[in-house]
Amino acid sequence: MQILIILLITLSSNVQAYTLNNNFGASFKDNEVSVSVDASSSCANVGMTPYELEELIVPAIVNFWNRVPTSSLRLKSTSFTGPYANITTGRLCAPTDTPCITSGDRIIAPVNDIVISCNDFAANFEGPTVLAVTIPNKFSGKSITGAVILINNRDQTPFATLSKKDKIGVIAHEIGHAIGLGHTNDKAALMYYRIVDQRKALGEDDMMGVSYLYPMKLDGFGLLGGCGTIISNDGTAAKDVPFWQMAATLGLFIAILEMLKLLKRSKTSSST
Amino acid sequence: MIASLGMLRNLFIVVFFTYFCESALAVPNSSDRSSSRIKQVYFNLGTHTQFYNAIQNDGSGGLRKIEWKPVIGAGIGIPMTTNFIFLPEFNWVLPQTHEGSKIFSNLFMFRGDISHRPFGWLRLRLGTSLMWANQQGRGGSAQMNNGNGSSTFYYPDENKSSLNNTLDFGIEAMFEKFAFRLQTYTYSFFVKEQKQLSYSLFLTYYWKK
Repeated sequence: MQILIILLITLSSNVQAYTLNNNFGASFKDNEVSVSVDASSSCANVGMTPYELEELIVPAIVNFWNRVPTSSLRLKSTSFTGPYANITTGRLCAPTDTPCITSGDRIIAPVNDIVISCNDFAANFEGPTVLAVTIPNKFSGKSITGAVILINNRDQTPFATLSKKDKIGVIAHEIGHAIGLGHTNDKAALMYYRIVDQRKALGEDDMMGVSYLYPMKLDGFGLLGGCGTIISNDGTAAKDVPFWQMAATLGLFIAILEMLKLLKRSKTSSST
Repeated sequence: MIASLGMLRNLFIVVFFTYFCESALAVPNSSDRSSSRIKQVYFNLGTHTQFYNAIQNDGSGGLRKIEWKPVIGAGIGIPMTTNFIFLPEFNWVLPQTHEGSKIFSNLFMFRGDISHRPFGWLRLRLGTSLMWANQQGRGGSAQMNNGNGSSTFYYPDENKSSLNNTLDFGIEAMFEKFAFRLQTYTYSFFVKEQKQLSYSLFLTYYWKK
């Protein structure tokens, strides 16, 4: 037994780790965070309408960040907001980048939540292959109060050539930055710095990261955690597990027990 | 309609826990009475898989079906009625280190099952757990690829925990003093979008049976 325990501890693995995009562990104070598209967003070079861009948000939320039961973060899509000044043509500034902040063409951050827009300001995208950039650029103490995601809308933008699935993956990745996460070296994670062949779910690092920034505090089997609108893949409100399913599960369990008991009794009586 | 569904759901929870408590608090029959209420003491050794089929394993879309996360634990058996035994137990998924020692993660399970043995070799368990997932960040930073260049990213530097309630089902094959158990834990049972299944495979040694 002792040998087995020592073996178990020895084999307990060392894996990759997630990172945060700031050194003070900033996260949104409210666990319910809205994600919207800027109403004036022009995505001509991306080859999408703002409506098509907006359609990518729901799967980016539902298939990834809202699926983590150990996290209390509940993202919701709120279609269009704004328009925000300079968001399609201006520069995106980090909160500490004073020269950028003092420039007249800086993007004014949203008051709250996350806003997505196409943007064609060259300096925002370091190199032609950058797909999108994100900066949580509005803080209140250690809390993020606003973040901007910019899709590269420059001439010949690589975002235009992506499949719909990859576009969803890119937006989900950028939302990861907006909520406070940095990159990881784990290729399986959504927060890996490159697109992978197939993106189906979050990696372990992503789940740990979002659970660290937004830990769940007793969810009561899911009843107490997250009060936001739950949205399904097609954008309609998802239904909870039907009552009859739960009742049937319990009923089935009890019925199996009773049947097994009967079987046992009948065996006992036949043997006597 | 939504309100009535919510009421039905709450009613279900009440019935469910009444069933639980009724089983747990029922007066044992004369054959169960003895000086000690604890009839069984056991020790678990196994592996835990968190969020079955919901975590991406590699860059080519593979989802995790099983993983090697050693877990140890112990529990006791307290007979409640002729047919049911209450089995409180504690399990600990041994700490994992991430990126050297930048983050330590632990998972503690405080569990309670009501069990039934339809046959001598088979035990069914229905129960609930309080899952305490703890992360201890050690801080620091790393230079990582970002776009065409690289940027500084930061490791967490605080101690944080998530607490979840799970609904659990287990099936245990018993052989003399040992047993093999598949134990499942359903997270966010009532929220379809977040519902995830985790499981453990245990080899159990019954010290007192």
